[in-house]
Amino acid sequence: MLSELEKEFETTTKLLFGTAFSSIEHYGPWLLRHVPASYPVPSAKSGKEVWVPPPLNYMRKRFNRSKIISFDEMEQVSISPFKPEDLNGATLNDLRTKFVKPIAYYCGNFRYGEHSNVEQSSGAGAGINLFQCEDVYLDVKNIGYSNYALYCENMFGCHGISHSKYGIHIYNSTNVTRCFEVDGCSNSSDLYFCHNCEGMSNGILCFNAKNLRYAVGNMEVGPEKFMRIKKMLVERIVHELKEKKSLNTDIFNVGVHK
Amino acid sequence: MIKNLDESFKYKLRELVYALVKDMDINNAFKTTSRLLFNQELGEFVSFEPYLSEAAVGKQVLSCFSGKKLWVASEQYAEGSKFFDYGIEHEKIKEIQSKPLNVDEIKDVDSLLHAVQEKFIYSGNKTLGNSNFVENSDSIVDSNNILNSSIMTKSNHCAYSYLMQKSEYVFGSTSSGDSSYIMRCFYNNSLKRCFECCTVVKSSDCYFSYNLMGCGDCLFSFNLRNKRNMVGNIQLTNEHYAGLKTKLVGELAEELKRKKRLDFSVVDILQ
Repeated sequence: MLSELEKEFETTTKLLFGTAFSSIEHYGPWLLRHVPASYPVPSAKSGKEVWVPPPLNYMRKRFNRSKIISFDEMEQVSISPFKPEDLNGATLNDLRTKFVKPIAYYCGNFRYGEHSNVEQSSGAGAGINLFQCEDVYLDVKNIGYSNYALYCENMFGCHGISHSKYGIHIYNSTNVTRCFEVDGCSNSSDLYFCHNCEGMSNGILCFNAKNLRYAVGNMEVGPEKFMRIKKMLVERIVHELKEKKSLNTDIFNVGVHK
Repeated sequence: MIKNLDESFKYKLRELVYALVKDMDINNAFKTTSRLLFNQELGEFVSFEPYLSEAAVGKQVLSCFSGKKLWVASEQYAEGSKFFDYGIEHEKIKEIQSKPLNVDEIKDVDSLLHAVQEKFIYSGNKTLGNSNFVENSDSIVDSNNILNSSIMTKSNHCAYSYLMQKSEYVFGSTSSGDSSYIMRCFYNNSLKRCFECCTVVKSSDCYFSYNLMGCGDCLFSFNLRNKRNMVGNIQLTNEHYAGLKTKLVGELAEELKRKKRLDFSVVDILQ
């Protein structure tokens, strides 16, 4: 585990819940609940652990486990044993079987640009302190258990995010700061359990809302009442997370909460 | 009543326009792409829909107001969630979501959830910015002529695709930017005229290839950088490549025309 990331998880949880949570790996399964996650496979060339992209982008198919290599091993498998003249008269079927067999290897552990402290990630780069990430690139810092994050900092358990900071369980969102359990939101800060919101600050359980401040259930209630509700909600979150390392309610099931 | 009639009329009109657009534009775009990739048309777009739809990400849900089918980009919404059509059911959702809430009566999290429960309606078919002729798609921004797709930005003439930016003439593909005339391509960037390519960047005229960067004219090639005229990772002369490409691409086209699909993909070529 990256100790730097552990520290940043504490900073992020302190900002969101007023309490620093330690031991991020205990929260791993909960963080990944709605995130297509990388998975480890031994390299066909070296046997070393290679983290492979999840199937979502590939018609939900997993790459053949016996044909996985690490990104840094690709030069070992890219030379064909065949000669140009062997291709004379080759059919489509010959190509997709005989000729492809010695070279068809799929890569995990993709890396890009300047990067440091990247672990257990199928695709990550141009950033620092990245753990259990897929498709996390470009000016990224302190990202854990996430898929598809660009230009983000201190984000955990997220999928489909850009230009965002200090968030947990953020999905399909852009430019959101200090948010928790948010889906399809943009240009907002301090949201908890919100869906399809834009230009908001301090929102709790807001759905399909725009430009509200201190809002609960799409109603602006003012800072004082908002803080009372937020305190109540955060206490419940902290209690459940500390006890179970997981939270039953999330942005995708809050709509069917009984 | 008048409002309802207006909405229903608007909906019918939209359906009619979409039906026409789908027939004209997507079909034409598919044929243009087929000609560029295979030097011939493969047939009507509609007969390839099952094959192309294998790449689609998202799920079909129903509007809680009209029962109409909607598309949502995320597959994570729990069973039993409620949805509305972001494009045409705004008035209905506004009525529900602006209902007053007495915050002083809220004593705990359960009473909070209970008080706002009826407002939890997720949006589907979200089309934003300057977008036109978008059907059965969600999270579409500044894009035109989009069918059965999710999370598309500044893209045109796309069907059964997911996570595209600044791309056009895209069919059955996922996660790409700055790409055009591509079919069945998965997780790429800056592609031109490619079919069945995966993890390929800044490349053109490639078929059944994986992890290429800066390549052009490659067939069945894997894990290469800055190469041209490659077949099965074997370097060929221009003439040799051109002859073999004509033959192999012709075989691909014949099989596609006959079966409306291929039985293999770059993603699982040896399985």
